[in-house]
Amino acid sequence: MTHEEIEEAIPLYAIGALERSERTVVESHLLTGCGTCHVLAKEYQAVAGLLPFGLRSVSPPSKSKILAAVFENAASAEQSGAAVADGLGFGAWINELLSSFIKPSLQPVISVVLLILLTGTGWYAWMTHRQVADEAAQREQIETALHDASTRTAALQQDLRQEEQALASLKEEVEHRIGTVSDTRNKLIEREAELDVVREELSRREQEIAGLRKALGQRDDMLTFLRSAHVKVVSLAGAESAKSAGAFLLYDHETKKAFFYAFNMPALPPGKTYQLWAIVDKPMSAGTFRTDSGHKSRVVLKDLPDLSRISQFAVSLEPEGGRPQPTGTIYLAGQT
Amino acid sequence: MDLRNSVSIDSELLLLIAKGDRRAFGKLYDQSSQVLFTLSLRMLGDREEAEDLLQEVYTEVWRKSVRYDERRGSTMAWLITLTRSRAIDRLRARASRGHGITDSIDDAPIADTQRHDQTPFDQQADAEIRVMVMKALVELPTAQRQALELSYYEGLSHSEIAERLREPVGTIKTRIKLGMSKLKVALQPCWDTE
Repeated sequence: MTHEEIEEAIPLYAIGALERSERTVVESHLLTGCGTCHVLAKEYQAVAGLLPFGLRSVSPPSKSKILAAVFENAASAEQSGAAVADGLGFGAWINELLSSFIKPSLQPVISVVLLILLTGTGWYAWMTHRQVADEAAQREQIETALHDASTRTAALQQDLRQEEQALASLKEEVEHRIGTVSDTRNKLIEREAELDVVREELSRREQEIAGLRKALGQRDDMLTFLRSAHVKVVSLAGAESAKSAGAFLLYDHETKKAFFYAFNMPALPPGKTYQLWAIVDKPMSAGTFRTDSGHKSRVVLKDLPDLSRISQFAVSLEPEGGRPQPTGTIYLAGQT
Repeated sequence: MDLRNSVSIDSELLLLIAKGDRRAFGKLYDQSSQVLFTLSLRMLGDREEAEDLLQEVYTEVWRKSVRYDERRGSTMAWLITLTRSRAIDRLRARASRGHGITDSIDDAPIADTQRHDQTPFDQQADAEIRVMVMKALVELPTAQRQALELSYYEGLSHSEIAERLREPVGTIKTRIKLGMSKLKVALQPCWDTE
């Protein structure tokens, strides 16, 4: 591989994607001390070493469980190693030691006694050592369990704090929503008040429109009468009680209908009305009417007698609802 | 477990462990077990076997911590390499009757640290590193991420990945190179000591 090929292979080397032969070549090159490739390898291996931190974390097994198993495995391994190391010819060594200052005849007895003594001492020391080791392991397990419990307590306390914070946020949110709802309700009340005002205005406008339509209808009626070729006009003049008042009546021979228009009529006293009379042989009521704000009246009359039979029209002031015969003051009168 | 501790371990711990200090060993477990178990479970896919692997790794650490050479890399990098190596051994044993997998990276050296005495794990890293790694992985094209994961978590070589995906070897090599290059750029702040 050329140097360029090795450089290109370093990312694959760092993540472990090279074949054995390629890996050997790259490692051999790194051992030559190539600074550029060392830096590259260092950086890419740092990248590879970070990859596990991109995984979703999983809680590890219980610390006490793993550590107890580790220590147990280690102790077993040590024991098996110690067994192999024993058997160093202790008897020969002790005999050699004693031969220099004890009689040869007593040496076997002394050797046996010393051997028993040393064996007993060794056994006692071994048992003591095991007891201490067991106690240390138990203490370690207790400390580990205590540490785990403390860790769990700390985690629970942290969870509790987070829950409290979430609750506080929720409370704040609810208060905010309540404030918003209150504002919306106030705005709704304001809008309803505005709507009432608009409704009143609309009602007033509708009344005005109705009045205008009525006036327009009356004008149309008058125009109809004026356009008719069969219309005859009768004028009524004001009597003594209403000298400035006047009226005219447009009579249509074809339809026997008439349009009556009065003006400058005095305002009606309470409980009174004007009544129009057609005098044939005697007064016949042609209808009652009131005046508008301009002291004017417009009335369409139907089913009138033939005009040739009517000698006169008159208007009198009568009680509300009218009377069969004139009882009040005459305000207008006119000959046909 | 404190996240900061999960990415950075005091190398003094291994010196104490080498002297038989069980408290130091317990502390090492606290600081490293989560990421090692997460890695084990991801590679083996079986919780019981992952627990067994974790126990094997820590037994080895307890017995052979004296072999750790600080000059070859951080403590966490050594633990991850050890865990991944043992996991690949198990995967290889599991697949011994089927397709072979790549050689163990047991002996793969952690790069010399003449100029970079501290790897990202030794820096005062925090949870931002996890977020940065996740983000960098998510932003990789799916094909590149898949090639990296097959190599790293399943121990497959480029030719084995090519065979599994039915793609040319050159394509797989390119995907791995591009993916690693993008990760290096994205994760540069993790070990940038400046």
